[in-house]
Amino acid sequence: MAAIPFLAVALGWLLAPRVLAYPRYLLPPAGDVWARFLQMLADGSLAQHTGGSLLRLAAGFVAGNALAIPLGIAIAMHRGVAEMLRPVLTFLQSIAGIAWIPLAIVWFGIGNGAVVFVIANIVFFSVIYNTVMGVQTIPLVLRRAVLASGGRGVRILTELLLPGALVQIILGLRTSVALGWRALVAAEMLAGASGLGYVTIESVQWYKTDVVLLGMIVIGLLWLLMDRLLFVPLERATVVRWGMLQR
Amino acid sequence: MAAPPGPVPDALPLRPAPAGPVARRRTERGRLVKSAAGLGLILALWQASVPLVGLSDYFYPSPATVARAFGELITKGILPVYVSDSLLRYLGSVVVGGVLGLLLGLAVGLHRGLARLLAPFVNFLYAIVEGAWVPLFVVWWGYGIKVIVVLLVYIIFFPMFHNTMVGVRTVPQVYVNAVRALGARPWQVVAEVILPAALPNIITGFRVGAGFAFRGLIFAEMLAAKTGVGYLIYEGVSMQNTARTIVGMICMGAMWLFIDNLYLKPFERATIERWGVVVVPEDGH
Amino acid sequence: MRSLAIRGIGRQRPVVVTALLLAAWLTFQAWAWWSGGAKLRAAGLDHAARQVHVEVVLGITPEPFHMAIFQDAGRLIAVRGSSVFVMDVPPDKLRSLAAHYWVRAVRPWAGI
Repeated sequence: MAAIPFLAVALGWLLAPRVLAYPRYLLPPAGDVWARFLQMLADGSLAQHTGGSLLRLAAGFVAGNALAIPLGIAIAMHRGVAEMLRPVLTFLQSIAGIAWIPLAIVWFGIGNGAVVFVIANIVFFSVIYNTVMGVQTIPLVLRRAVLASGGRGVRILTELLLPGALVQIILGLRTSVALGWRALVAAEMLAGASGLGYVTIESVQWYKTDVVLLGMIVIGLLWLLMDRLLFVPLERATVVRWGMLQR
Repeated sequence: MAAPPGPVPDALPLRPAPAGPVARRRTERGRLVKSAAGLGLILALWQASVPLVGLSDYFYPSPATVARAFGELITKGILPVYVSDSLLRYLGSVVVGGVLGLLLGLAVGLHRGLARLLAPFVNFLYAIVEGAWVPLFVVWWGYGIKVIVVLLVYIIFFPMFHNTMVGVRTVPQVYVNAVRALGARPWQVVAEVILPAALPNIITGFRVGAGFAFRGLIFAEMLAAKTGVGYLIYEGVSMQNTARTIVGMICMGAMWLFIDNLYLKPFERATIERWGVVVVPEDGH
Repeated sequence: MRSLAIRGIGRQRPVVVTALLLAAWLTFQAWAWWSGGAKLRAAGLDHAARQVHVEVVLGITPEPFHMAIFQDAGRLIAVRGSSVFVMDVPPDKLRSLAAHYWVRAVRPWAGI
């Protein structure tokens, strides 16, 4: 039953050229898109663009987290500093990512550097915001428990802050990758030289709408796969099991 | 504790909040002072780093240069026009998309069959990152405002639709039965019971959608507009005036903080205080 | 829908701030309209019934942003320093042109 709308759209797509008259570039028939898919698969360009996009996403994600997690924990450990920086972090998080694309072009030129920077940027600001907030939401009971059992300094770090931050990180993983994925597509459109976003916007000027549609479908499918195959099971195995998140 | 599907909520303070209005005003003033100190610290670090980085204004403008660019944009009348253009596009699209999402979510939420029919399809559409639709829209309508408005309506429609549907479906049947037993007609059931009960979910959906729509606005303006804050961010770089780009970025953040803190958060707080907590749906979204 | 009403809505911060901002904006628009009229009166152009040629003296150096506005108002002919020369400006567009706060003065021009 759930398949009915999909079938309806597919049917409409197949029938539209026969029923209505419109220029081919507005909505290429499904056959065109399929042929384009096979062609791009055969000459390796699909693999190249998809692989490149995923690689850039991974690089930006790793870089952003590597900088944000230590810095976030360091800030969160000092409550005074954390409260001072909270509004600034909120502000920076609201403009993170896409707004930095032109600046990234100035600093890195068009290409991989700019795209990876933008992804790392949005991941960095989201994770640091969540980490600072997350450490502050560690229940007072737990903090007192660690202090009561004689924990100071490093023990607070290892027994309270790191596990607490880890939970926040896993909870925020899905969101930060989602944000990173959005930033990737946007950055590749404005500042990329290859990749799914780039190929999609570039074919607009040649009116190669079949490539545009193919790009959209691949982008949608990739995210669905990442979400259902990676994050939901990951969350189920970790934070749901630990009782931090009910599903 | 169930995690809400939207953005991370504001942190609860580790120390219990002091009671009484005077003490509350004192903590608010203290918080304001701390925020100002934080802002001042960041600005000072920025200004100090300029000679250290040693690059030209094009690569690394100083706060002073940015302030000068800000003044110039105001005296030349450019910034007010850009900001109001962006706001107008944003508000118009968000209202249209929000209403559409609300109405459709209501319709689908009240009909179990419709929900089972449309929900997976809508979820699939939602998976296609909104940015990916822009090239197709440009093919259909060329570069211009239509693309921006359609994109924003699209962006805010889905969270609104989804949250409305969930909110309506999770209204406890007890309430509906009680009101019906008192002789309420169908539209009264919807207006007096279902809508208020679903309102916390709806408002949260609106807030999430509004956030994504704001980012989408800036992106679409960079790509397809000739005025607006997003366009300013892009134009600054293309006219070799990076300070203007930074003015645009700061405006963007200020606009969002304004919208979120003055309208979205108080609205959400008011409905949650009045009608209860946001319900997390069973299907795991 | 009485259940959706919030008590004391007139005192809520969002409503108060929005009302203040709206009032400020309306005041500014009124002032701009009046000052535009004053600029036209100073140049004797306030009773123009048909299209006129004008020299618009700006307080600032014009940019492409401003050029687009002038192109929309009439036929942009030349820019000399901080003066913009436009031909065939209809009276209503002339009023809105003069209302911009970055326009210092408007002078009649003979055209070319």
